Amino acid sequence: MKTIKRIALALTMMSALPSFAQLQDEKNVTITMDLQPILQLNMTTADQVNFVFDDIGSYYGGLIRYGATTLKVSASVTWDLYAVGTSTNGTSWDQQVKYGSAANPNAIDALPLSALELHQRGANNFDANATGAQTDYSAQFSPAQTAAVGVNSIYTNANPYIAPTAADKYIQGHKGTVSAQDGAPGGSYLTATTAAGSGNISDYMFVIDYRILPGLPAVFPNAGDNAGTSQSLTAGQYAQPGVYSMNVKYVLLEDQ
Amino acid sequence: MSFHIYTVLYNRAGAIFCSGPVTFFIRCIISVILLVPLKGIAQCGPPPASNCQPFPASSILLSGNNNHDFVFDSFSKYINGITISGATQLRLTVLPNNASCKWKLRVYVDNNPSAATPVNEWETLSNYGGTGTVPLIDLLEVKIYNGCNTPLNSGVFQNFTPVNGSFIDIIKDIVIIPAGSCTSNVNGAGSYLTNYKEYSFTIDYRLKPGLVYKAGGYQLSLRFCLVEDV
Repeated sequence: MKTIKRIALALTMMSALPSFAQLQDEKNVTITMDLQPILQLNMTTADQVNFVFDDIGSYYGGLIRYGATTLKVSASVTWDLYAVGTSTNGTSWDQQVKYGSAANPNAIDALPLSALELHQRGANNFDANATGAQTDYSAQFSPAQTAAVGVNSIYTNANPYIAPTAADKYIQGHKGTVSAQDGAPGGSYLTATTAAGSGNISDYMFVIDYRILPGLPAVFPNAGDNAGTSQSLTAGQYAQPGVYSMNVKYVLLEDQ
Repeated sequence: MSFHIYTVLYNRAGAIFCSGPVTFFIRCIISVILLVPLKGIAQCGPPPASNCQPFPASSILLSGNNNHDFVFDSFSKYINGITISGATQLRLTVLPNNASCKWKLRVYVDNNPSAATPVNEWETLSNYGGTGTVPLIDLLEVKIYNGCNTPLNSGVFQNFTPVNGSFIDIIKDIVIIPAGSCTSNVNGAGSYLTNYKEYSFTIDYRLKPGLVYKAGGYQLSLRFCLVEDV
């Protein structure tokens, strides 16, 4: 027992040795990182894109404004981008001026917003779960005499901040939050690259063409929703001559 | 400081425990055996030597802010990163008790595991929603240098191993490199007052998050530890 006692005493003394004053000092620094969400859409376009139909050819063949708008995206979060056509009632153009008396009841001033067609250069690559006939605006404009109801028609809504559904068109990304399927990842047109020789531009840059095809009579034969349901004027009707306007918004938002 | 308190308690507990009746001897031995390994893993723990004079004769003087905020509020900051140069300056004084005085300087990283932070991530202070991943500890880069380039990897941005409690050795060598050598790993007794280029250290911090992390507020703590080396 004495031996055990000595061992214990020795251990106790050894454990006490480090309690002598020793060099030790410590200073602390705290690093805080604030990652704020960035959604930046750079748009190059004229303030107003005008379509003036003043000859038969422009009615028959429509008018196209190539490359009228360029969209460039930089985002730190997964994102969607959509275009929305809107007006006072969200369904038809706002008539600013009408020419003539317009006494004929078949002269219609409620022209469908979907008469505006868009074509995007750079396809939507994040639309795996889209359910509509068209997931984006990448389809080429159809020949003027070939019906393509709703294929390129702009998504419309009276409230432009209501995002399109899974059955509607987006420019990039889509309704839903499935990773790598419904939204484009964070990135920027400044750094994103595409395969050499592919002819594609990056997932963060889009060139938009516009077309309006009145037809003759001016019923806007391609106007329609994304399911292909026509919204053109009915047979016998025609667009009342005048000045019309609508608003196109491009909305960049976090994937949702 | 916390470890030092612990050491005192540990020594006193051992003495009290082991000086009791015979029936406590077994408990005493077990307690000593259990306590000894704990001492070895604590951060900034003093070694079992007293060749250098203790605090406050020997000390670290820290200049600069104790809090460094990196605010990423533009795309260019995300891509190019933010560097805060000269954010921390350390000035050391190490006075000897004898000719064997030798010290080491380390910086430990702490992600506050008591807040249930995963071992390899930054502590999340707040989330701004959205998708992405929480940044890992190795996102933080530190560059440590002085006039004589005495630190290991002087002037080079370094990352921590992405584990809470990992460290970067700033000064550490098995032999004594005396003050005035103006070479790597000067670790003998000396002071920034007489050998400024060897006993002062400047630290730059850099964060370059890119675009993969979840938006939010995050935090890490760094502990600069000066201890005697044996």
